[in-house]
Amino acid sequence: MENQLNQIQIDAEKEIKESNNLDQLLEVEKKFLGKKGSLKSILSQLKDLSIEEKKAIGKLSNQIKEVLLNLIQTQKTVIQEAEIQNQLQNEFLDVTLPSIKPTKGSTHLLKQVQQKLEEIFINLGFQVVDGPEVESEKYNFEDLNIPQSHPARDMYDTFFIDQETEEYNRLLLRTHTSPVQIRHMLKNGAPVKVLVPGRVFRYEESDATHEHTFMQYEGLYIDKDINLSHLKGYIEEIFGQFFGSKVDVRFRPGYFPFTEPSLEFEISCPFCKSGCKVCKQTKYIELGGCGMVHPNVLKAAGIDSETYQGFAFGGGLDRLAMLITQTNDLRLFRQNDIRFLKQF
Amino acid sequence: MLISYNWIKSFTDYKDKLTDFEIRNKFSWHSCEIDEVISEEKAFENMAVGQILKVSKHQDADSLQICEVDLGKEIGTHQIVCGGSNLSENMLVAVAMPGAKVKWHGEGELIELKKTKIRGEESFGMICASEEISMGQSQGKEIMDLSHLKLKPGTPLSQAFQKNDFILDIDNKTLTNRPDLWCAEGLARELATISRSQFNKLNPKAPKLPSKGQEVNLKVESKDFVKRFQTLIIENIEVKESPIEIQNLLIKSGLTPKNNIVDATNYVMYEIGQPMHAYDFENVQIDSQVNFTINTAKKGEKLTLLGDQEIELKENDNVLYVNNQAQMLLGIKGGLKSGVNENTNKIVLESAVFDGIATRKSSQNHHLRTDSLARYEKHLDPENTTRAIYRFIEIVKLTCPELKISGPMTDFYPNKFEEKEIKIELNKIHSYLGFEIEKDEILRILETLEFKIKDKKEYLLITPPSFRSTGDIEIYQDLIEEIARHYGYHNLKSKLKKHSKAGQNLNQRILEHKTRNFLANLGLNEVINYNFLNEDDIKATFLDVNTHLKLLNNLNNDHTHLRQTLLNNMLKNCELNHKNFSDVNIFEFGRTHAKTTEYFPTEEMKLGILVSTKENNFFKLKGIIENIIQELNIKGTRFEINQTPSPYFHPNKSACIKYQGKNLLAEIGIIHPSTQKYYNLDKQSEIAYAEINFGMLHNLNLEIKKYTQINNLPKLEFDLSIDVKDEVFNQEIISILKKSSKLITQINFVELYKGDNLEEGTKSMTYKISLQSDSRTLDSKDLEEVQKSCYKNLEKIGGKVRGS
Repeated sequence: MENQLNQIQIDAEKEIKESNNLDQLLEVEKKFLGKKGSLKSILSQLKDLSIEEKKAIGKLSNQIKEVLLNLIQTQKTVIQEAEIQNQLQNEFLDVTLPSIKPTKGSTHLLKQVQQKLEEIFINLGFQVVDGPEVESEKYNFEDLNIPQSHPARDMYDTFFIDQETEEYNRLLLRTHTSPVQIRHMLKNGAPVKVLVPGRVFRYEESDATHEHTFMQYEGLYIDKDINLSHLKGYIEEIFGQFFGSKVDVRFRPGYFPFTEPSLEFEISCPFCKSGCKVCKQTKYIELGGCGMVHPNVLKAAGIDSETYQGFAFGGGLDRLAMLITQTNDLRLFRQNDIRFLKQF
Repeated sequence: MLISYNWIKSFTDYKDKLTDFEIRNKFSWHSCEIDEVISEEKAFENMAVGQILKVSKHQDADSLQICEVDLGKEIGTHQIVCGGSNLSENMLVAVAMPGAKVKWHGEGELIELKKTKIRGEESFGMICASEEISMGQSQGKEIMDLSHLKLKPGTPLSQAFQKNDFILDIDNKTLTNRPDLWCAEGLARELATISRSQFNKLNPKAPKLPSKGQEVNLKVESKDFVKRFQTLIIENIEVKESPIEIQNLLIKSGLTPKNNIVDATNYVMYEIGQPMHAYDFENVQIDSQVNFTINTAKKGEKLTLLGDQEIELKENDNVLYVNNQAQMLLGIKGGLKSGVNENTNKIVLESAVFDGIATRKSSQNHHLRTDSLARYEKHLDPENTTRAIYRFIEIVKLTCPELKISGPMTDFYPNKFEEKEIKIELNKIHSYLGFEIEKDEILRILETLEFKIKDKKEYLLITPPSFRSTGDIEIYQDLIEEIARHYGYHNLKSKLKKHSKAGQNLNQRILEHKTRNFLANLGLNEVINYNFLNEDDIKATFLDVNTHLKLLNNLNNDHTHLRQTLLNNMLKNCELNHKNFSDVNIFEFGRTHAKTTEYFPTEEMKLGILVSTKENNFFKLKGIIENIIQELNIKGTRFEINQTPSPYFHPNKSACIKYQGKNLLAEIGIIHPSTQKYYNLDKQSEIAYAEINFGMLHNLNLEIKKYTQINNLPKLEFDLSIDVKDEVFNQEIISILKKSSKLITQINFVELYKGDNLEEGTKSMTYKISLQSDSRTLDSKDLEEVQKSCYKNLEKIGGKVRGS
């Protein structure tokens, strides 16, 4: 009987090691260790043996059972590992199939540019302020040193609204963000250090480079000792940050009724060193107008122009957006074609 | 304005030869902006005078000839194939060599020549006809014969034709406040200052004026309009061609030479900036008497202007009358009848200054822009008129040496120019620029610009010349500009100031940016529309046209009013985008306007959101709105059924959100089917739209949210279905459930069911209800109690709870 048991152990060990999948292993386990397995059937013959023999055989069979169970467990691990290896080798994913995207929207390019400008100005200590789009002739023109019938009014083709009073004259759509200067200074006095981004309107037909509705930004800095050197410094700093590279500023004489002296500013092309399509090979880009705030404007806003002086500068936000995205048609900004909007 | 650079330069002793690029920079960096510098020489690059040594027939082409052409020592002798019929030996011709740009047969674009073979024969460029090198069509298609010029072969063509000038195209806008720069002399003054050279002012000789004789009887009725009016009668005039030099200068300014008299008025205008007019004496006299009356026009009067244009005068036009007949629209254009003609032998010359504003208004009456208006509207110098008359006489004498002045000058000049001193402290210049300019340099600049200076050491007393006292130079800041621009803005050094106070954005703008980024992350696209729409749009949303602001002047019929809702334009966006996308989810931040009884209208910042997908648009949008409220942490909002929805919403499919009491924060609903149809969106499912009064949130504090304790005690859940009448709102059921027990922490709507097994007009609503206590573990007894309470309360509103 002892021999029979040893033989079972030898047979079982062999079959366990030869098992190469879990089902087979289970079969082997059943065959040798199951309720009707060989080990059980040997033990059923025990009744004919003496108590000592029963004890000895029982012990042996338990030992064999334990060895076999351990062996089965080991073999199980081997088989599982082999199966994973097998799976890894045979499985395949075409990673070049298209993605499944979560829906993504977009903020408007012009608003992104506005937000960026606001952050830069804020970091330099400017307050962002705002004013109405429907404005009075007084704030939009007269208080900015552009009296009635001034030839400069031609520069600002204006939408008018059927409304008029003696104090404010005609109601209109603001042609620039400058009336906010007046409103802000009348309310807060000097010193002033503000940025005004906003929508403005001009009575002119739209084409690829002109719009009757567009966005402007305007920086105003008034204190006791602000001068043109500061104007240059701030323009350089702001657009250096905006375009992400150092820029040089160049000034030309200009004419605006609300500044004296009046200048136009250009920056060195941030996209090239030796001329490119954006700067039309000139290496410089015209950005806007600027100057020292005219004493008449300060007076209209109730500020003593002999104590306070300062600069104002501004330009088109749409133009900045066109430059950085190299969009060639201004009208795209307000057509609202999602195929355009979602690019930014 | 177009003007010759050589002409400008002739008023200075400036000698440097500049390139077109340098000329442009000189003016643009210091004075006025130049749009373009047109180089005459450039058009003649690689062109020279050649002498034909030999002409022989081309073997392969009857119409072509082979010429041996001497092009001087440096270029040598070359063979050129030519089709001209008038070629002869020893003839001097214009040769365009390889690299030159010509117009084939005088037509089309310029083409660059290359060394080539024509029917097997080498050709070193071409021999040109006048039209091929833009020298006019006088000699037609024939080869230009230059033999009369008696020049050496090899002489550059630009030299042969004396094409060494540059024409400046000046941006008129930059001259808005500078009437003195509308002429060669004025620009020369700037050039001299910029280039540190001498300015030579034109000084026409005063002719001897007779003390007796014929003069104009002038009556001025519109006294405010006429600043100065001078006339002089001149006889022994012979109308003929102007000298070629004068014609050339006028051509360079884009004018067409007419005759010596008209040309002389134009010449003086471009030379020293004073417009003039010459009347034909015969046509303005009666019995040898000239009676001029200046008055405003009578309404409806007609006047035929030069160029045969008839205009109907308006009451604010100022007109010159001769015996009650309108003869001239003053400051703008002369009348056809009284102008100089080929038989004129005696003229009345007018040199005047008018009020700029009135002249400008008058021109706007008739949409007339003329050279003289461009100058008058900028307020001219009344001290310049006499000088202009003297100069006119000098110029006309070139062609009419026998001319005679018939009598004394008539001069109406009510308010004589008075000089004014401006005080400027030297430290102010420094304080405006941020750096110092040497006093000598300041003096040099101002002197060259003809300012009179009294040097008081610490300050200067400056008297601007009359031609800068036209509203241009009035305060010391104006002088600082003069000094700074001539000295050069490139001398400015960049400076920044330390700031002690942090910058800050508007609270509302911070909220706006946060919301737009949030909405974009939820998958919506931001749009920006115009503020404009038209009456049909307004009617399509059933709003009152009369409360809308209306533009007095509009660009087109689509843009006549200012919007009161963002909806219309967003529906247009929706229509546009459904061509490419099945789902259109967009939002816009924009302002709306409405009339009030006050002068200023209301202006409100709105956030419009539009959701147009296949289904469930309302609830998708509702979710977006709820997310915004949560994201911005807006407290004190109440979602309510909209009792009085805006008329563009479906009357029974709209809700509103109240904020801090009764304030209407937002409306949300399904678009009225007619409105949706008007924008060609009737094929889409019902579109949902919400408009938030975003401006109402301007004080909202964007603080970080407070922590709420997380409850880890176990939850109990049960489902509840109730059959109710269709009109019962979900919100009603939820509020009843909520009140039923304090243990209820969450009520989730599961589904709404309608079907055959339900009574008509009823629906079944299913909810999942969660119970939780923050102090103990709940058991089945708690659950039973809550369920009982819920059932009881729901029955009160006529609901039948299933399985109760």
